[in-house]
Amino acid sequence: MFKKLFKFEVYYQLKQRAFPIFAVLFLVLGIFVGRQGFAPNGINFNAPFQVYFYTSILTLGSVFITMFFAISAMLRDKQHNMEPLIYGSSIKKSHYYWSRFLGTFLFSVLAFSPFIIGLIFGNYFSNLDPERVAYFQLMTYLQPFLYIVIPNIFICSTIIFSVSTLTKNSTATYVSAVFIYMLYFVSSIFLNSPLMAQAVPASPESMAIAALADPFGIAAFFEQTQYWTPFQKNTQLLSFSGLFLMNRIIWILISTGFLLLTYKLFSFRKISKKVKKEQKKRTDKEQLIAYRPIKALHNFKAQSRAYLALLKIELKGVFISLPFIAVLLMWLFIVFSELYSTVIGGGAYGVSVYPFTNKLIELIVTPLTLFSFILIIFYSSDIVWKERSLNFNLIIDATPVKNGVFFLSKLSALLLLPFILITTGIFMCIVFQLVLGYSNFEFGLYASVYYHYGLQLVVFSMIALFVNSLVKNKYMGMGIFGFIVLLSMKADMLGLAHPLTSLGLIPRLNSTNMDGFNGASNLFDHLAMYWFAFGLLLTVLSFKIWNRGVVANFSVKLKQLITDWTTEQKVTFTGCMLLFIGAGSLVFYNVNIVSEYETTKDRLDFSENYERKFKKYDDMDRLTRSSMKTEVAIYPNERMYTVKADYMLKNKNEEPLSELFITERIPLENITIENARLVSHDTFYGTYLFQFDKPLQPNDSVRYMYELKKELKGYEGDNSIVNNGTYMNRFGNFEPRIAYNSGLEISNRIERQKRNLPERVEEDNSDSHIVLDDIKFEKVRFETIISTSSDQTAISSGSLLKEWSANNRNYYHYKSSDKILPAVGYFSANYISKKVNYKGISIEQYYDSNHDFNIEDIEESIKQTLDYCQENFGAYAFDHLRIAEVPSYWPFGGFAHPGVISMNEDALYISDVSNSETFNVVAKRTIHEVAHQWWGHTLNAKPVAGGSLFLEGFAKYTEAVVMEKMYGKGPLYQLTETARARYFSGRSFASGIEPPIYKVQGERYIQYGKSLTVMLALRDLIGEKQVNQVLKTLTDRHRYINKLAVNSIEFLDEVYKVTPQVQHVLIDDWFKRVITYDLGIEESSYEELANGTFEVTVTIHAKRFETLASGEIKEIAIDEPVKIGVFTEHPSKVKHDSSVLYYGSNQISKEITEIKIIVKEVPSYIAIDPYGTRSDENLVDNLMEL
Amino acid sequence: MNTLIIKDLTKTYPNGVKALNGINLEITNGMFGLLGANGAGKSSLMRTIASLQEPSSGSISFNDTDVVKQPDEIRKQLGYLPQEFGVYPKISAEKLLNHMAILKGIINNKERKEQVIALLQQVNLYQHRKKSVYTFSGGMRQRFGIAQALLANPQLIIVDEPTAGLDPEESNRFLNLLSEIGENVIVLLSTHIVEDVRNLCPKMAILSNGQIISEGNPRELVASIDGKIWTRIIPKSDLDIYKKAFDVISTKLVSGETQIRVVSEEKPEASFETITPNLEDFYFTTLFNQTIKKA
Repeated sequence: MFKKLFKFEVYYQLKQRAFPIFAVLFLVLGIFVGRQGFAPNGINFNAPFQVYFYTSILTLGSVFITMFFAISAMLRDKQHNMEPLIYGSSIKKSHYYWSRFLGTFLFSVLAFSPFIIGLIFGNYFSNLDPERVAYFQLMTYLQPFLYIVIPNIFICSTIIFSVSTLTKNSTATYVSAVFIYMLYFVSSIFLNSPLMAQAVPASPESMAIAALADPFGIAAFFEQTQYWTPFQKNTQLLSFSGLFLMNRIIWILISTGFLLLTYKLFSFRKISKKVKKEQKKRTDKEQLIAYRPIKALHNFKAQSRAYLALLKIELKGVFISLPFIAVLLMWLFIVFSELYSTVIGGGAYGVSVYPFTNKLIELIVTPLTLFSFILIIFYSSDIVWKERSLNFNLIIDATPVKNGVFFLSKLSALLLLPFILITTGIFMCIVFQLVLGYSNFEFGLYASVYYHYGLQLVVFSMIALFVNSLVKNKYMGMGIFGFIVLLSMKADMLGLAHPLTSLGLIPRLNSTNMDGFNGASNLFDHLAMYWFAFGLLLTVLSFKIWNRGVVANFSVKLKQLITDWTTEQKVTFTGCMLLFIGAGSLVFYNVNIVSEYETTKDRLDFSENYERKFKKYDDMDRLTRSSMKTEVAIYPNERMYTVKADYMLKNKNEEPLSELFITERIPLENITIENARLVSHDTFYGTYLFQFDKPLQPNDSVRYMYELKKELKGYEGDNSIVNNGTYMNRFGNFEPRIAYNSGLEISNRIERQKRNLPERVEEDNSDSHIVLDDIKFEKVRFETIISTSSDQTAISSGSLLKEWSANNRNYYHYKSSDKILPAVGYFSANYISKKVNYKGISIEQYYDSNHDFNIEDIEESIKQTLDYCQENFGAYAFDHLRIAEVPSYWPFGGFAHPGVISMNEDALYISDVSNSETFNVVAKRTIHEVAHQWWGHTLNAKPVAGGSLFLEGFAKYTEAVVMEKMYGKGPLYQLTETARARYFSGRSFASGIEPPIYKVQGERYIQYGKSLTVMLALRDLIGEKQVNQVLKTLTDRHRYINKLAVNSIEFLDEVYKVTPQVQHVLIDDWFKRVITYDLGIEESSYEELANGTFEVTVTIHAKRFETLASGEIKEIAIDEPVKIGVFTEHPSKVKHDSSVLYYGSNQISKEITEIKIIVKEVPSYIAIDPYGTRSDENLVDNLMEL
Repeated sequence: MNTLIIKDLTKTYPNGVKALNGINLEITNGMFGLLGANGAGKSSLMRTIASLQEPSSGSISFNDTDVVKQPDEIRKQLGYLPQEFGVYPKISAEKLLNHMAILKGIINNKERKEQVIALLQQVNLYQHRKKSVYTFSGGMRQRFGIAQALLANPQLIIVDEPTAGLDPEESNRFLNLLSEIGENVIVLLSTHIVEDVRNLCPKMAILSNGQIISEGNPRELVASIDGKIWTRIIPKSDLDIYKKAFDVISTKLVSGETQIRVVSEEKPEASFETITPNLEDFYFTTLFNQTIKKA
């Protein structure tokens, strides 16, 4: 019997059109995902990690499949009124129930599985880089199928099937599916998984909760693999243990429980509706009223009443529907959690930020678009087809309500959906600001959300309306419109990236406090007009084909489109058409004609041809700048600047030089080189080739001058020249390259192969190269006259010689007293300034008037840093230190120019450090950039492997020691914890083999991560004095050498000199090998001794691992001193040494070591290596509460 | 006096089905019955008159306004009850009727309330007025449909199979109401219950395969076959023989025995008895003749 029932179930579900549709859909998805060739650098496209990643994410989509099969399994009898027949038959409950469940589960699995097949197909049968596709291994695909796909679909099936069985209601089934998603979203927020981009790593505790709470196991998967290196990701399968195993077991148990409970509750007797006690029939002695006809009115007032009545019905239909409520609640939840997690302790180092309106808006707009799309896709069809699907259309269409009124009521209901989301989101933001006591609401900025984000949604709604008017049924409308939304978000992949063809990619405008919308909204305004006109056109057409009564077929609608245009319709249509064409032409003119429109291919072609034509000049000897004089005139309102430059170039080579090659960045108006003539000039590529009249002899110099004018053309955006907050720096400036610019070359290996370009040469990082390579880049004399509009202040490097006003402009003359690195910036903005003279150094702060919260903290940190650095590393190189605020669109927190520091408004000025308990991230950032005045501007590392240790490594070290001096040991905890997490997560996404520190190049996870850990380990080993002495020796030695010369080998030599021979091995382990640790406390307890002291007993485990050049990780022996601390409060809260009962080094040489420590007070915490001097993946077990 | 004139009305569906084929009718105040088998084109005709679909050719005019060209005009004077309909969920009968009244153009709140109550009483839904129409039984829902068709001041009331699903009492009540109203307006009633037409309609037409095959006053139409209908009881097994031999228009079980009716100018056989024909006999005779003509 069961067999027969099951067979029928299989037969029935197979016959559903949805099965092949889902199966093909997921097959195509699989192929698409498999061949798109997206994987982080160094990870194979078909690495087990990647396959897991995609499979687990895609199982989120299985909810829909399961929902469909569950509804068709459990609700079909009801829908087709078969219930009495089935339930009255002799079928056993168990047979019926289990056959239907099995059918649901099996078909969900069958419909999803083609994804894996597609993935394999996509991986192996497309032209992916063969070096990044590993040999086929069945387990790579089978294991995710067994660990992820089967359990996830089982879990989804049981929950959805149970809900559907118990409620017999398709809406409730839908809601249960949404609920499963919600669980996933909640856990991914906890985890900050890659799907929900957030900057701050989660704490291990919340990660564990998330890993267990996520029914899809995605959080658990991320938890297990978070620190995997690329090598592990490529080779390792998931281990069925730990939180991942727990997650799978818990959820399978929960869902099995669900299924059994449902089985118990399920009964063949029809779910009887609760029979409400018949209310005592109020003996309605209502007066009988005779029916008499009433004259109806059909004037404007009647039509408006009808409009309102219809709108009310539409909105009621939407508002009381469960999906809407579910989406709205989810939206509010997401908004709340986005705001909360970012504003309250959500900044870097867990610091809160002041809730500036523009920041809050930025947080909600991404989910806004997503949620609005869900609503529009689902409800546009629902609204348009409502009466038809209820079969109420014939009645309502026979009423004397005008077509326009029906149409308008539907359109308004549809447009209200995004409006409601935006409004509730804004409301939430304002409540947030109120609660935090923030009162600068900037309502104008809030209102702009309706325009900047709402408009796009309005146009999409109009498209939805049109699509639904055109198609023959509701589901087709939903499907086609959904597809259009998807395509428009991926328009660039279809070659439709041009702003006129990609509604989905309409530019996002973010506002900064300093510079508002950066004046970049012209493009948006014009596009808004263009798309809105487009939407209106479609709306007029939708109205034309709006029909009443019986649904017309396509050809009739086409006829309707063409014929019977009333005058009003013609006028409206023509008007919209004119606006559409007008705005479109304006955009086209600005995008394609004023500035040349470049596709990705155009850019690649440019790079290829540049390389082919000019690569020959790459090996040519170059000249070195020895002095720079500029005149920079900034016109912020016009967003324009002009430059007159006058440099000296010196031949530092051993050979005479006869030719000079130059690549411009911004078209030059003129260029002259003394004693040389222009041989060739390519205006397209912006290159110049000069030939000296007679070869320039070694150590001879020539004068080099150029002029340029930068104006924004069309919609060109340029963050370096803006209305308020102009900042020209290494990321956006005008300096021509006095060489071939290899940065213009195509770097993508595949793209190079496609174009038959030779492979690029890897940089040599051998020890000999580090020591011997001769870098011809040096410090220069610098002088500038920089001018700006009368309401702004202009800043650059050098001492201020003179400032004056003329022609309604402000002029500043800066000149460096000594040679400086030519890494100068030019600033101009409407600044407030605060200047103090501190021990002969003029400390000058320039900041925006809204951003005065942290000025005192910044000043104090500067003073402390100057004091510490001058005392330990030698004199400060300038007589001034300027800190200038720059708008938040720069991709860095701060940048140190000689004597001048730029600070990003977000990073420094809106952090809320008013509570003394919070980690003072303002001090941290300030110390870091001030430290660069030594590490980068006084001691100049040779730009070869290991060089960045001197920049970021030493700056991080200075951060730590000055912070400790200012706030005690506590901040070291957060600093090192962050550095540790950065290192481990960075190396897990790293491309290529991880170098040891002394050969660090661009690896930011080493620069900002491991180097702090190792420098602090060195400090613990040889003492702060000794470390500082080494740094001072190097600084003194190189202070007056203009060349960039110091290197990591020289540094290590100095370290060896001050260290006993026995410790050299350990120092080499840290600096010259890649070593990681696993330290932890197994158990610990204490007892009071007779003399009133306390004896703490602690068992420690310790392991050491070496990452080999192959990427393989191998355990090695350990024998080294490690710090153990006993505290009266959590080590991150330590302000004074009084709460540190014991902090000392203990030689650890075994895997398990027992240690006894005597302390004088009752201990609360014991920790091994509390202030992170070892790279240890798992920090949780390093600390134990006693 | 209202007049509805239909001329050469044809409706061909995209799949080639001719739902209406050259319909000509002139209807004035009073109840007009439209008889026809399922699929004869009744609903198509009514939808077309109600401006819910456009005819392929032909014209409809109501009081000299062209319904096809000016659908808005007919809608102002129309009460329409389709054969089948659904409603919005979770809206009470009273509220929904009120909503419909607004759409019909009754903007005076007091008047509207009065009429809504009156209609709910008329269709015997008053005590259920707070319940959602969505949960109503078939009969109750049908009564609601009738109520909404009578909202405002309709001059043309089109009701498609209105008594389907109503119990005899409800049905009576409703038809009485209709005939009361029908004294001053046109009521176009489609049904396959011949009795209703006979009882209520001074005029009627029979629709078959999209064509009017008979039109007139029921009494007069029945009179036209007076003396031509014969009947007898036969054994069930002989039915085929009789069907071949005579023009059998209908077969009925009477107390378990098979009774056939035959149309014939003269007594077909000794065993047949004459019978006073009713409207049903006329209907079947007309259909029978139509089939003969076609064949």
